[in-house]
Amino acid sequence: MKRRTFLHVIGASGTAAALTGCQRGGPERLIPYLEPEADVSPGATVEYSTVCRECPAGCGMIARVRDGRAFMVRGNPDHPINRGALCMRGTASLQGLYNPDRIRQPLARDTYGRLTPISWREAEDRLDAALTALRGKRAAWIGRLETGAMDRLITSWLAAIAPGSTFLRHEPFAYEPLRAAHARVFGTAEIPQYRIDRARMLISFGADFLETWVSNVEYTRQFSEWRQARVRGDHRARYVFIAPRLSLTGANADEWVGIRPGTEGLVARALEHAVTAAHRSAAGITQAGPLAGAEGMSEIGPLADAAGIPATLVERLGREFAAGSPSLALPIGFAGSGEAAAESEAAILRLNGAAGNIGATVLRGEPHALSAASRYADLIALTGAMNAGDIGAVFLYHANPSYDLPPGAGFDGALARVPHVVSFASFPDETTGSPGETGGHASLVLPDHTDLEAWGEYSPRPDTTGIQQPVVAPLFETRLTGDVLLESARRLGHDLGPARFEDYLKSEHRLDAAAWITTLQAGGLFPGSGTAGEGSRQRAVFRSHGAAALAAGAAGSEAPKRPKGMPRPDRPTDLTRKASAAHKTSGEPPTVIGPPETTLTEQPLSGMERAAGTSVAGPGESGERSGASSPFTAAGGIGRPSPASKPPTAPPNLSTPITPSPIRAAHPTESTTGLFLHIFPSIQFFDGRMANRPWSQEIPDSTAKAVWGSWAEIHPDRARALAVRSGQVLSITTASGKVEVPALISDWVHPDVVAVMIGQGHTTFGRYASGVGANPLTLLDGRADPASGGPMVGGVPVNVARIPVTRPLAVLQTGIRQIGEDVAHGMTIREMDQLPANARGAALRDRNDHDSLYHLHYHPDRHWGMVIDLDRCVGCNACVAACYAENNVPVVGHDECARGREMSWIRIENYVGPASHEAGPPVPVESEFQTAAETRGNSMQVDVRFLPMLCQQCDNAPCEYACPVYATVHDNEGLNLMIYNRCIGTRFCSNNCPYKVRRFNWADNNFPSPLDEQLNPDVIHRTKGVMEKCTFCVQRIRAREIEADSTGHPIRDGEIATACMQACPADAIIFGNLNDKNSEVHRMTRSPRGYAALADLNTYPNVTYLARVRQT
Amino acid sequence: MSSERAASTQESQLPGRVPLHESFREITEHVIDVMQRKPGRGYWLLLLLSLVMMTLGLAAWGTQIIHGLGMTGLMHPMMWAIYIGDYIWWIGIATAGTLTSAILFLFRAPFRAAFSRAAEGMTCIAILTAGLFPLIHLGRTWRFYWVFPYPNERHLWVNFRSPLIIDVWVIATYLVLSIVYFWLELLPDAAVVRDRSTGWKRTIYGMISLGWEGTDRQWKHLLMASTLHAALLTPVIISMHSITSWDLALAIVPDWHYTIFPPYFVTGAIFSGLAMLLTLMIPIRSYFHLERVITVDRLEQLAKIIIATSLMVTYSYAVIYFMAWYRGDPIEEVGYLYQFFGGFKVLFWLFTICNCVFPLTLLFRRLRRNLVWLWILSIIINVGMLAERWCIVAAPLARDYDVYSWAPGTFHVSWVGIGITIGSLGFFLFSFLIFIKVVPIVPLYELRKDMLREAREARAETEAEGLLKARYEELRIKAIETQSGAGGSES
Repeated sequence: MKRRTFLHVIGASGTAAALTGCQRGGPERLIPYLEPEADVSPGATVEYSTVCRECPAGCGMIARVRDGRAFMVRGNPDHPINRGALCMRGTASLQGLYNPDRIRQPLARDTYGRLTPISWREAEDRLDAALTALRGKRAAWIGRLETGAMDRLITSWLAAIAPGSTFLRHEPFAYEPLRAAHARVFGTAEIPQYRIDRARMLISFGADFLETWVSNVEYTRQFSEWRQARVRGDHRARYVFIAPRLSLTGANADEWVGIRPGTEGLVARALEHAVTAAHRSAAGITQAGPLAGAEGMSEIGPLADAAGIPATLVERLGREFAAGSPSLALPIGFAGSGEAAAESEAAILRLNGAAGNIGATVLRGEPHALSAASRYADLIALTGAMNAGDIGAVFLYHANPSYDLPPGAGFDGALARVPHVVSFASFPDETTGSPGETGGHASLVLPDHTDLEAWGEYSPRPDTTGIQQPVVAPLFETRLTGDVLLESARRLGHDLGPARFEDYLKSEHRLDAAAWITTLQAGGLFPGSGTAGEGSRQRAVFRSHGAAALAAGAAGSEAPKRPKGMPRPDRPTDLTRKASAAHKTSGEPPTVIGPPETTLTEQPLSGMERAAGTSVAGPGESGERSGASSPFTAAGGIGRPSPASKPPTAPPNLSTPITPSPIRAAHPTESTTGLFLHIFPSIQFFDGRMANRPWSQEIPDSTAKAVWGSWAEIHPDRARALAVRSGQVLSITTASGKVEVPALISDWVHPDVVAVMIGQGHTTFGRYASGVGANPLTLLDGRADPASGGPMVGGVPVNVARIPVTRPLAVLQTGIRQIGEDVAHGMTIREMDQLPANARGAALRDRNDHDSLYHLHYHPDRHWGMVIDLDRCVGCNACVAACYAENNVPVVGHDECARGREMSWIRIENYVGPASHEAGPPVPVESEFQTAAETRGNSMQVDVRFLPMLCQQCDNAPCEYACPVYATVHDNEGLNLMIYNRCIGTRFCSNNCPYKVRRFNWADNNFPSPLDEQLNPDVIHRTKGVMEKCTFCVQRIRAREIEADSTGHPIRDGEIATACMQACPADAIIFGNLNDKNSEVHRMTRSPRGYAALADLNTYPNVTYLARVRQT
Repeated sequence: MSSERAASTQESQLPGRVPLHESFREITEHVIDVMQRKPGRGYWLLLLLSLVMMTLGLAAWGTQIIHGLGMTGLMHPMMWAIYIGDYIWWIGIATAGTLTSAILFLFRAPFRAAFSRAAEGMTCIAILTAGLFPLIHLGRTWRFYWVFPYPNERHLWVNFRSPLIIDVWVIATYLVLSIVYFWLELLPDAAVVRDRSTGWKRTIYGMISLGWEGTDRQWKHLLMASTLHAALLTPVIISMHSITSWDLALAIVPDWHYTIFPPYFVTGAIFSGLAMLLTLMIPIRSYFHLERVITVDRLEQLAKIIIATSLMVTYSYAVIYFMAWYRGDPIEEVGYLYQFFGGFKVLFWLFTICNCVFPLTLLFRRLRRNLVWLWILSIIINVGMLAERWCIVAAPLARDYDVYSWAPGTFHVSWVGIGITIGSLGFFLFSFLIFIKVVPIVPLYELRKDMLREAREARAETEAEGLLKARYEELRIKAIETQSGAGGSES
């Protein structure tokens, strides 16, 4: 080799090596803090408060961060919306942050139409070019619902760069019919606040308030309190679910009235008559009274007939609804928003009015932020404008209309005509496109931070503002969209305020530095946030964004922690105190609709439309905010986007004679098979934006218990008629589209309904969501409901045919009925009342050495135990997600789940009680012992027991003696320890576990980078061939014990919370020391309802269940 | 010798006797020739087949070790299925070998000699094969030695309460005892081979025979040792298979938890083991022309034991199903209904027909003595017992207390699980093929002993007859003499 060649080779290889080193820009993050910052000590966990932005509910969230990595999130205990709880979507926000499919740098279309990486400098140039090219043309902003600073920034930015632009706060679940109904009745298009906990009779017309509806954690909390009060004896209210499908929310009801889709309004009107009649008879007014002709009982029969339910049922429900005052009728959810929805919602509102619930359980004046979301019709209008070539640029901001609009809406074609589509997406999606691929519409992608890296704020209600601060440094070359907007405006010569969005946000709130720090620590501005609550004292502000000294001081102080299960000072359990507090905070006397005999007047629909808000607002056109000028004509002077925060300009006219508007064809035209489509949202996917989180896919659906796919729920009668079995593929067609999904035969749907879950069927949404399941929205024709501006979702007639393909679903629950009632106990209220006051649960039957060959374990100091109240558990899977996050539980995918190899340490088992056996069991899972049930539009008792099953930490554990190598042993604190390093994988322990809670690592489960950065550093990552199971979060117990031993501070009750307990929105899980006679867990273990699962096996579990209580 | 030869002419017609028209030398020559003869094409083909099977098994095992136990197709509630089923099946086959050899030794059963060597070899090989399965089924095979209580600086110990540990000990005990017993029985024959071979073979057989010279003292010690070992092995096989059944019966799985499991497993083991013995011996007999040694009568004796054990196994099934119904525990009932009509119905009806119905054909003497049918039936029983072991291991796990976790169907077996099962058969076949070429397949000294004993018995009979005749003659003469004497004196 010549010397020269040698030098060539050396030079080339050296350059190549250097280039490889340059490939991944940014700092090496193996040890994020080689030189720790002032308030960060390596290995110590710091907590930052922020806001969950996974849905418009806006719960307060606290991220646990160690060494610059967020490994766990929990609810902010001070935040008035969620009070420390967090649903599974909130927990899964971690997997948004560390999603391996994130867009990692700016992208632009190359000459082949592929999205290729570019530098930020180039991206800025391209953005400027696009903005300059607008030249007076209108632009459109399609973004998720924002409130406060970001909303105002977008507004003013749009006004600066393209006056007259359209600003759509696009939320697929915008509840247009509900807003329209309120606009019609009260003049303001608002989503009011409901007080489920105050209701003495609860009817939901399909609002799945435990899953996705408006603010599910908040309503789950209220519902849990409602159930607790019922068990305490404060009330004996009933909860009736009236909907075509028994959703998770319905499965928590006492009674289900299965109705055909679209008939909710008829039922509500019939009920209204029944309520009025009941009031009248209570007041001694006979049928011959002056109003008898219009409002007599005679009206009920035809309405009930039209709805297909017996009139007697309506009369009974009406009597109960009138008797239980205040009662509450919750509206129709997304699934029911169809042709008749606005009128049905109005009918439900009138029903509430007739029962005197307005102001008591339906609180107006504090509208939910969703009231400001744009309507579906606005998007359709924008599509028209885009097609007409009026729109010069479209900005996409955390919105994915190509997925969540039906193809019939023509959005894709319209967007293709727009010359510049700038996307601020964090993830590749159908609208934006995917890096390196030609799909999608974005010509320029300026990736935004995910919400855990970003500054922001969100106000779910006018008096509650959560401040969102970054909890980790940005992972990739992304930029905060707020910063991008401010910078681009400055480059184009507009001054919108501070240079960075962080300062913009701060300036919006006009707080001094100290108050700002306090606000950040508290998690936002809301009633009680000024006083230092539990969260605020132990939380630091993100160091790299300033305020180090203050944060360091704040982070050091140890606040006394309060047990989660205990009543909080700011959380009165007394309902009356709560009511008065709510009135106080609302700032205005609640509008009370007077005596029950008065009925509300309806304003004409045109007025409603105006009030409900037309978001496509050109200059001069009146905006959606009553009394306010259009947000797009002026840069400032816009209040919070809460259209109904002001009291209605005119009080509702209550004295006008009743002229009920006729319910239009509530029952759509028959399809050839007489089946109607029912598209329902689910707790894990929401509107589909959560589908790329592996936990959303892997954690089973809360009712069907299926994972990684879509299915069509179909009634057994229909299945017989179609000769279809579970797993066989059904082809569901409408004039607009077709989906092919496996059938799931279920008694939990009305026979006239085929129900498909929304949220799956993505084509471009990362590796976890793409190609999984089907999107039922493609079956819709895309029309907007003229009455409300909402999408036409419910009651679409469909053709269903069996196609000769079998695609078995991965269903994790096999049997729905227990053998011998040993696992999930239930009792009626009457039975509960008859329990002797000194009854002790079966869990506490005397233990003695004679029951076992071996001596009982002795727990001298502490004896950890858990109580799970089945009456509070709603089966929402929040605990499951929290467990996945806390304990590094791997995700294994569809095929493994189909073999029962899912790794979840805690699961919700759905069992159907004997009460519904007789009435016809709702059976979501087809098993070989299934029998069909007749529901046929009649009511049936619902007795579904949701049982969180986790390791019972038995004191006489069958798994322990089975292990040949002592890999699972008992400790002196009652914990059943699992020593992964000692396990050789005989799997005998799993065979011998009657609860079947041990999970085996069938393979090495890896976490694709950067998902591995979410792993909890306190918990080992298990390898193949090793058994694992719930540990009662032993890492948390030990951490606190070590602290207690070193500092001498004794462990107080409730100080140690397992991840599942911390997340639970219903407070169903209580953990603590059974040896402490004053502990909550000790007290609750002694509840008369307490029992041990499979107690006769003599396993002495340390988990005590409290039986579920049903009405009858 | 001449007396033996004379006796054989009449004794050879008696059933169940070794034909004694041959000399010791002829027998020895014949058996040693079977061993030392150059193997034919069939042997090589079988050897190749066994190697292919073993390779498949090793590939499957390697895949399983590298990619984790998920490759086997096992699923959650049925944590044990095919491997533990295979394990119990192989252990059962070993049991029958010991039974044939040791128990029949103690009872001095006359037909034992023909099978004992093959049975002992089968025992040793089967138990080695069986011993592989607890290793194969481990999640972390490379840590298998943790089940032994070896001293270590971290004071880690094993859990003697675990049925698996008891199992480890009993298998180890059984393996050691079986090998020692096999060796003891081999000593005189190894010496015979030693004496007839030269070169390195002579050295090796010399080492194996432990300097056997055939002195009275050695014979005395050998007999004592054999008797003691046979006496020791007999309870060990009972306890061993009982303990294997404890792996299931000591668990709280509803359909495993039966007190009848130990005797049921032992009878099942004998049943399947004798079937395997027939599967092996019938081809060997015809291939090596051992018809003169392994007679149809002796095979018929085995067939009779098979009928008996089949009936016992059927009785055990009946008792278990009856108890499941009679106890009224719904979970037990659901479990067995699931076996009968649910996900396990194929396996269940397969093993029921194979184990309970087909063996009844042996009640007919004609079929019992039809070696082709006997061989086919032995295969049927082997298949049936394997199916039964898989079923009783996996099916109860499919229907447990926790209804949520019930298995949605039968257990799945991937190519890895099947491959390892085939590989174990290959290992067994390979080892047995080697075995019949290095060890006299029929125990020579036992055979000689039998021949001697029978000859002695025959002679004794002859002698007794002679004595009787003589005595009669004597008495008759005496009587005549007396008569004549009296008459003479009178005359």
